[in-house]
Amino acid sequence: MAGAFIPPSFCIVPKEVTNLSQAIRIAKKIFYLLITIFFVLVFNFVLFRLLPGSISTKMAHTAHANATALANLDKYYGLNQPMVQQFLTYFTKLLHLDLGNTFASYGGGTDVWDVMASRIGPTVVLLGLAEIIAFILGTVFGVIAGWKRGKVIDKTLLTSSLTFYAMPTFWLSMMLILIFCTKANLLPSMGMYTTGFRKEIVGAAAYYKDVARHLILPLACMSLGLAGEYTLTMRSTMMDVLTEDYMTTARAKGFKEGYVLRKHALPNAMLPMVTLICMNLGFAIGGAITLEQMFSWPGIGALTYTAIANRDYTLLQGIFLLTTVSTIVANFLADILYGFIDPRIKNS
Amino acid sequence: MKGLQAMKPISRILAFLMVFVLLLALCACGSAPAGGTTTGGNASGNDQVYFRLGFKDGPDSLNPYAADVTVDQFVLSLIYDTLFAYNLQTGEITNSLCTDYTVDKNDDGTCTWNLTLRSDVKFTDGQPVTAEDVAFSLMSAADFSSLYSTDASVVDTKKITVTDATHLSLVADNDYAYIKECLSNVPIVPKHIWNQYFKYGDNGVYTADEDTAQSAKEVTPAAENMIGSGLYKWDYADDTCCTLALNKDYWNGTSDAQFFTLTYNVSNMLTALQSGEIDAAYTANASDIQSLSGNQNFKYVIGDNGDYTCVSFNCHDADYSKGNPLLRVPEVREAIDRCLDKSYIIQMAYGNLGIPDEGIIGANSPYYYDIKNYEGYKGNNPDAAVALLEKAGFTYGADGSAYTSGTRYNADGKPLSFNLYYSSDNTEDGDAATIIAAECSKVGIEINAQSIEKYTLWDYTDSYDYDMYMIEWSAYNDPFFVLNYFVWNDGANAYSTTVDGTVQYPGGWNDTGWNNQNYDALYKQQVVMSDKTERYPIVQKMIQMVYDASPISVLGYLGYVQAYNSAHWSGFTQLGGNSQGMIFTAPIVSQQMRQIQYNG
Repeated sequence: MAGAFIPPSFCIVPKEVTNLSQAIRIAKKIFYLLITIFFVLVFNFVLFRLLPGSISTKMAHTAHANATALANLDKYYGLNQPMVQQFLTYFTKLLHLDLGNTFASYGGGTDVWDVMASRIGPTVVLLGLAEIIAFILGTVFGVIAGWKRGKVIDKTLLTSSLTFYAMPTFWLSMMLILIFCTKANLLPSMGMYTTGFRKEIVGAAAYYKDVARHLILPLACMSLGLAGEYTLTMRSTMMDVLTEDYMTTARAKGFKEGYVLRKHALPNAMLPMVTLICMNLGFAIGGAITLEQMFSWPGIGALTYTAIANRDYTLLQGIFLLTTVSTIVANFLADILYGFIDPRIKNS
Repeated sequence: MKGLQAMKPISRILAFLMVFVLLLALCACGSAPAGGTTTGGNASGNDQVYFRLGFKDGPDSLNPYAADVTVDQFVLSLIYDTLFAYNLQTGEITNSLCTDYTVDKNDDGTCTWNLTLRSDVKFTDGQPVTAEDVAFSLMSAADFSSLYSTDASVVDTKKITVTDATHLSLVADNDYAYIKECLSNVPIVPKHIWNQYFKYGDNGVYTADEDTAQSAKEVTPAAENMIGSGLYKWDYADDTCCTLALNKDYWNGTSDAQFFTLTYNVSNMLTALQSGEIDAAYTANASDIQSLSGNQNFKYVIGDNGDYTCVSFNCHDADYSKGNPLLRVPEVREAIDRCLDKSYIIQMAYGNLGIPDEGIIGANSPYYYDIKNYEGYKGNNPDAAVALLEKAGFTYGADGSAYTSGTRYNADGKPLSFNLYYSSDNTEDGDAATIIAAECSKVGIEINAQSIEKYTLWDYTDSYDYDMYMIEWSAYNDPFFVLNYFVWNDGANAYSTTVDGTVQYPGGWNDTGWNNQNYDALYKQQVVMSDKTERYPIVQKMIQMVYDASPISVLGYLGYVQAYNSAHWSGFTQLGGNSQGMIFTAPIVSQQMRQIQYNG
């Protein structure tokens, strides 16, 4: 009976007890969440300072700064302080949601939150939509493949899913650009909107239409890869579920195949998908570096690339903090969600 | 609604998501906006002409004090005027904001430049451009600008005297040949906008104390502070591009392009150009040339920007130098140089985008000297390299017997084995390093090519912790900048800056450690000569000295593919009017934009 779905109406645990245990479970999860985030903060701080080289080197080569100027820069950014003091300053500021100023990118001295804020929107739009499309395709294809196991349609979906899942993002991007931009000249190959197509000039409708056109290729590229992953996962769990005893029981009761699939197979098969989707949503906040670079999409991924290239410690810290915290929070949400959709966890 | 309510939750979610995606797809349907023009948001609704120049990279900052990279320079060159400017046709530097100047030699050896400015130039906010603005720009940039501090420091900013609104005088240590070129780079910013971020110090310069050390650099570029007097004015910028609008009151002509857009991070330059997403590419790839050649709607040039690529040797003999001491033996450096077939390296590693050569001054410079005409020219000759190594005592194998194959050793058992570093973000240098290693192995020199992260590499080279590394040097039009790479004891960029006897972030560029008093003396001699015929023989002698000593091995002068949509745009001129000139560089972009025509 492993993995069997037990409808809530069969449970005999009193409601008050259930609610209390649920609250304790969530409180524990929040506690662990905070501890994890603290260690992430420590790790983020230490990691970037262990990298070889220094920001002073870059300043010396670009501004031709002398030793005094570099010492002043170190002082200005607090780099002359002991590591512990730097961490305490960093942590205190973080409590006030102050991530500091950029070291090198944007000329240095720009608020990290401001820099990241303008990039979060494009990334969330791109990767959020990609997740939705991939979820729909992955679920539908996964169910069909698992249901029609061994048939032509299963083999076709399995092969195509594996292909898209295994295909490197940069290669798929290049192929899409080659076909739809270079050869067919149907779609834009870069950016988020056409030059001059600002909302205040052309109006909201034309602007969003233009943005949508620019979204198509990066969206296709991202969602195809994710859909491949979701299809494979869904197919695998679907095949497990379909062999369970309760499925045979349901069929023996005379339910139609479609009803059995929707009512008994799908809810159970969806459980691993919830974790996977939540985790991917967490990563999505961090952007997709290769994808955003290939399509010149102005998101967090492209910003990460810039920050790494400029060795911008504070900006990188901000981005990694955002990425890791969003992943941890997504994982937390998946845990909570599990409690609601799987009665065994709620009642445990 | 009844139908929707009747649906199961999971089906409802799926249906909602499908409708959402379908709406998005419908929204995306329709024809693409036309390339080259876009329907403007002006009252008349006329089409407005955009010129969109694509860059592979993005900006660092468009703030004139924090600007650092190529995109930044382009924006500033379009927004701000300068005292002097390049003449696109001749490549010479001519008057711009400055209409006239005289140079007086003072008794103490210094020179005074007396400048007269145009009186009819206004910033885009209506304020006149005055001598006070010029003085402020030089004074504030000298100590503060990331990009222009070296240029502004060419004059003694403590001794700038403003006579009246259109006259000022500048004092320089000497009548350096490069003063005009340096002054042609410094953007003239409005004092009434930027003055608030600086403090006029006791030492007579605009500077900032510690509390406000970064305040000017922290100013976010916007229409209210990016006020200039140039051909274009600030329109807007976001994370994808910066757009400038034509300054219709510009004093020195106009352009067909009503808007100039600098498009950032274009990863597929050829595709963007062909699909009409950009009108021109600042740099395209060598592999794009074939496609561009076969299409009559596009034209390209391969321009020489004066940059050269080379292998730099650590031949510094100080205690703190951590390089392999064998590279201090001139015969070893020369042997490596003679192993290298420069033509082959440029062809194979750099996509043939460049001119193989071995002198330190580029072929596009008026001071170019073809080193092949030098009587001491050696050229690629592996046999001669072997002879040099034998002469230097590298006649042994690993086991101490006479050398037959593999790596050569000297009598002390020291092998000819060196590390060759290259920046990990430069695949071309990586290819070149691989070829160099292969060529050197044929004569018994072992080269270990290693990819190193860029800033780490700079840390190593600054502290003389390297044997050899690949580096590209860029140059001013005047040869002073290239020549002073090797100056050691004196000069504007002398390298011998030390703190407590050890090198701490040196003040110059000579990370080879090679030094020669005669060279330094010649540098001081030529750098004050304005007469080319008088100066050229000295420059030529210095090129020969560097060639003979081989502190670096020049591989060639790099070329840049610059392309544009010739169906929409025409009238481009290559810098200097020659076939090796660039069509887009920051100093000439404003003049280029005034020349080109939009063909519809």
